[in-house]
Amino acid sequence: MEQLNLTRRQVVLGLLGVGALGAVGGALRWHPWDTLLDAAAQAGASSAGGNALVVITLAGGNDGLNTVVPYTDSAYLAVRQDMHFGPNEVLPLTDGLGLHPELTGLKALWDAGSLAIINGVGYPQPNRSHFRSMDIWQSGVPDRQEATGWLGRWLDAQSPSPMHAVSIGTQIPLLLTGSKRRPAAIPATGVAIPTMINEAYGELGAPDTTRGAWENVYRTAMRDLAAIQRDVHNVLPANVSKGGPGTTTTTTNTGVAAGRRAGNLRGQLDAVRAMLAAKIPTSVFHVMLGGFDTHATEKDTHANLMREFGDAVQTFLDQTYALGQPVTVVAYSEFGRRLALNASNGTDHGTAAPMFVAGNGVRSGLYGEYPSLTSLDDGDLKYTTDFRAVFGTLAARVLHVDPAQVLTGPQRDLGFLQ
Amino acid sequence: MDTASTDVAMLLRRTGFAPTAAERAVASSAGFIPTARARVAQARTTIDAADSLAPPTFAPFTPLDRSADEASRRQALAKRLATDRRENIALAHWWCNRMAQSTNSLREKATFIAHDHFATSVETVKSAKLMYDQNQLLRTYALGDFAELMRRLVSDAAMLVWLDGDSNVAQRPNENFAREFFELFTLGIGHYTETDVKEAARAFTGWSYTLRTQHVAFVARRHDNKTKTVLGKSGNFGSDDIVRIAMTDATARNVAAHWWSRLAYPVTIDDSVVNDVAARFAQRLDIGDLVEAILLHDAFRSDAARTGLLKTPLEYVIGTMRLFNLTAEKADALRTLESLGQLPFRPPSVGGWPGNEGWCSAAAALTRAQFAARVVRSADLRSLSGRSTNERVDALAELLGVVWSEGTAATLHAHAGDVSTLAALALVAPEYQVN
Repeated sequence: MEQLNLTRRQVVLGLLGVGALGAVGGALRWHPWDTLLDAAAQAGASSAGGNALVVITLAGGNDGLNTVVPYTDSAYLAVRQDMHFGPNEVLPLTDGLGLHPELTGLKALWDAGSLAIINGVGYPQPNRSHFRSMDIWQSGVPDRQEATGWLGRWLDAQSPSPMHAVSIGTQIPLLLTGSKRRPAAIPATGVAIPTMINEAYGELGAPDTTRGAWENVYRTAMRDLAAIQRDVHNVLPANVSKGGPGTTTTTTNTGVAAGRRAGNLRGQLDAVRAMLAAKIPTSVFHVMLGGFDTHATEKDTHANLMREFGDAVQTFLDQTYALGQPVTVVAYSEFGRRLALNASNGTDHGTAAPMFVAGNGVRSGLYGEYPSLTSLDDGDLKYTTDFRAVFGTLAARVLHVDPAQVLTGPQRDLGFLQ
Repeated sequence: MDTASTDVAMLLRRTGFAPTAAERAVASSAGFIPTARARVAQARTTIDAADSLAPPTFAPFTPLDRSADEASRRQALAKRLATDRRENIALAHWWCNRMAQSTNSLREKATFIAHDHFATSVETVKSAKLMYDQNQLLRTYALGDFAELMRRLVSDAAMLVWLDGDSNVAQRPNENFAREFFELFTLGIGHYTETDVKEAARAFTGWSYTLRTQHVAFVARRHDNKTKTVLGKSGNFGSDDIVRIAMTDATARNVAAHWWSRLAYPVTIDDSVVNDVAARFAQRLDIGDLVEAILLHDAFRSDAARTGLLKTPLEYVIGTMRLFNLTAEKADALRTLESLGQLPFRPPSVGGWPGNEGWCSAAAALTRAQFAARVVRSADLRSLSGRSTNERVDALAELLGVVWSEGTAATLHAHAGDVSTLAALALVAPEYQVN
């Protein structure tokens, strides 16, 4: 095999040209936070011209059929007899489609003319593995394992600053992983080094050329932490103390997937709002809401998620609008779910599902064709819009880059942004 | 510390979790090579004081009563989910405590390295019992016959559920397992074709896992009984045949690179050290041989190795638990491991866990700092408070097995008055983050 096809594992294991000690700095640049804040301030507005993109990952596979509901379609009633929403329950949109009853937040955005819904989004030869499909969505590459995310590739083309993209939480998603650059990972609860060691912490992280390269990489992380705390601590919401909402972005996650929550979307978006309010020059944010893998007793779980999702997005956009900060939000999931219920009153992994884009510059309305409920692919919905076209439209309209620089495949501008 | 002692300390750290000062002293007297050989020999045995830690009990599978009303069904399901959650926590606690209390820690370390290699997650498997069974399988072959382990993993229940082996049937083959088998578990990318994957998938058909009985069986009518051609060889192959065919030099190098990268420093399969140790490994495909070859290779006692690895979250948390005599429950280990992204039994994907730079974000540094603060609140620090302030900094260096840089020593001395603060600072110091 001629082409070196790196797996994500090889990238994250640092097997990209990191051999000798001296090469560490070459493969992954580590720049002290301070230097970069200064550079960003000098460079003026962020590279995206002041418009921020917030990507919301709905993890687990959102049941699109009960999110954007074809409530007048008899096929819907037939297949979802035991878990459907009727005309009196849905929040009506248009064209026989309505929103899940708990999505009042999104309905408010729709009514205000700031919500675009793209129906039937997917990709060819859908993969129903969480990991594989999530990698596909985040990398933008359906047909092979790709080690970088489409926004990571965008990040690679930016100046070397961790400021351009921020992932709320302690983990950095593939979405924002470039071959050269990575985003900053900032917990939603803010950054509070334990009081007893706070004073001396930054000192401990001072660079020391007598020590090894990797130790110095860690020292840089410590200095970054101290600096981020200084800059961002006053900015992020004060729900830092034990037990507060969003104390950790992954609370008691040792449960099975069905009940699992990477919770508190509201807290994560609040952290984004606070950073925007403080004019931290970040162009791309990533947040995540988990728990969508509703294999069993879906109705209540999904309802709670819908409420959390819709309310959090509405609150966030109301607040950022009031701040005068232009923000565009996009939400996606790694797949939808099957039409028919399984034997546990839940649904198994499916294929196509709707995406939501809301906020600044949105041309409100429905886009794409709602997938047929009768002409199916192995019992699942056939996608009608390729996800790369949605991301491509965002790349072009929000980040002002040529989509072809970060994505391959369908590039058509779908028209949901001005 | 002289170089010889430093290397012995490194040897113990890499082949276990946080050696105590006493253990380091004994090993130093014995010398590097005898210690390396002895640890490998011991890891081939099954004796471990940690066996006294009772494994979790697992509730038998009880099917839901479909004829019951909605409310009862819902209640039964909620109960099962709660049970699952308890079992998952208990299982993770059990292994963390086992690793911290092991008197055969190379065997536990090797079990985790195997877990990282054949990364299987309870998130999909959804059964703590199956994860436990797989864990015991990995432990049995931790320093043993790699091919035999591979053969048994093909029909391991957790693996069957994880990579769809149980829905891979002759009529409709599922390639998930075959792909990861070639890409990650054995040959590595570039040494097989898509056709090999398809053909191997056919050979792997027939294994069936039944949830109700929690049993694995080979079902002949689900098995593709025709000729397959894999890696240039043809025959009516079954699972064992594919494993045998896959035991090539490329596999030896791929496996060798995986273990070298976790014991010494990160390498690619093209590195010359990989060739050296892979050759030894290939002789009888014995992981113990591979580990010993790595430990005794000149490049293991090099600056590249001495500075080449940061402590993974697991090593950081388990090591600290060990040195401060804390259980996983007391140290709130699972919350920290989850936050740092290395919860046992829950790898992020079949690709396993990342290397050094996966552990270096400012957010990860914050989580370690929070863990350190919790540890010093729960731990018994009397051995420190009993000493004079001047002695405390050195005592901590001795306890943690590190040598402070001038800068760190100065910072620590300035805070030696308060034992909790001092210990917490020591635990977040960069020197302690290095493996």
